[in-house]
Amino acid sequence: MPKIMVVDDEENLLVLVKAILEQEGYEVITAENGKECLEKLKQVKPDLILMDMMMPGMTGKETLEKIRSDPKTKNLKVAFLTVARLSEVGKKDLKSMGVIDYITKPFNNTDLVNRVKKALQQ
Amino acid sequence: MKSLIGKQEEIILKDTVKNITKIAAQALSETINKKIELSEPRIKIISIKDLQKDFYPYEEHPIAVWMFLKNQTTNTILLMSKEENFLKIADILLHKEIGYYKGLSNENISVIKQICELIAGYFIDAEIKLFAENLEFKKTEVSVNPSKAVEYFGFKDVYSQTFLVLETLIKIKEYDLEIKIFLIFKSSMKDRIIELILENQHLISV
Repeated sequence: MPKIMVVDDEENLLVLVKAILEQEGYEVITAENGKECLEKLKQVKPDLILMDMMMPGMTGKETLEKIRSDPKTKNLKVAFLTVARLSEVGKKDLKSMGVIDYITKPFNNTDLVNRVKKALQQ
Repeated sequence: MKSLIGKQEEIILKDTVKNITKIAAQALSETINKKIELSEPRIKIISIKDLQKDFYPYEEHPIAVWMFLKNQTTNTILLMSKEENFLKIADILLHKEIGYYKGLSNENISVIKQICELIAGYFIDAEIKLFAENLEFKKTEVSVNPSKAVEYFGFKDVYSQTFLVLETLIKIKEYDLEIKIFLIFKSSMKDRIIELILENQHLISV
């Protein structure tokens, strides 16, 4: 089954998303911040990264910049989880960084699963 | 310096700023899940010396976060508030108790920039629609010196120029928090800006 890395500083959300996705049969790896995500990417190659945008230290965008600048990780699929209601220019900016989707929090479980499935098919 | 803006021009500019701020405030309100209030925009043409007075309305030095937009109506979008206000927003977005962050740090500065980019993003959306062109924008900057927002971004000979300043304020009453938003243009662009707004204002209706 596909491997999904979930990156979020909210522990409750990590537990929730992990449970939802594992129920669908996905293998889920978690990281609590951008630094931990980059560390774990040295060991694993997820099929999709679901990442929070607003994290302390390194934001989701900054973490993504690091992912894209490393030849070993630059092609990984990344979708954002975000509380932010993005402007059009904000959405374009994410698209230009290769973000395949942005899922707005709070999300509906079924919607999350459908968006993950769709992202994995892209 | 006395106003060089006609009454009609002032109404057009105020309405435009009001509409854009409403959209940005709604997005911010949904993002932090708090009610946002807006103030009546202020429009003026002033020298940098007078602009600097507006930059320091607080007892303590403000934090300024700005983006520079380059196009035929080159301008700066500047968000400014007391440090404690930006720290409160970082507390909210990073799920901390209010007062958790005592100062700017590597842990919170990126989020502060990001929330300013989010707000500025709605002003940029509107500018793209109004001025109907591609914008180049530079990396978001943060400083304790708001004057840099004008000086740094190459409005040449800033001390001999006047600026068209569109100023508005968003407030989150629950946290006794306010952020000032300035859109700063060269005053020589005023007529062109109004012309473009009149042509395209239907594109940014709320």
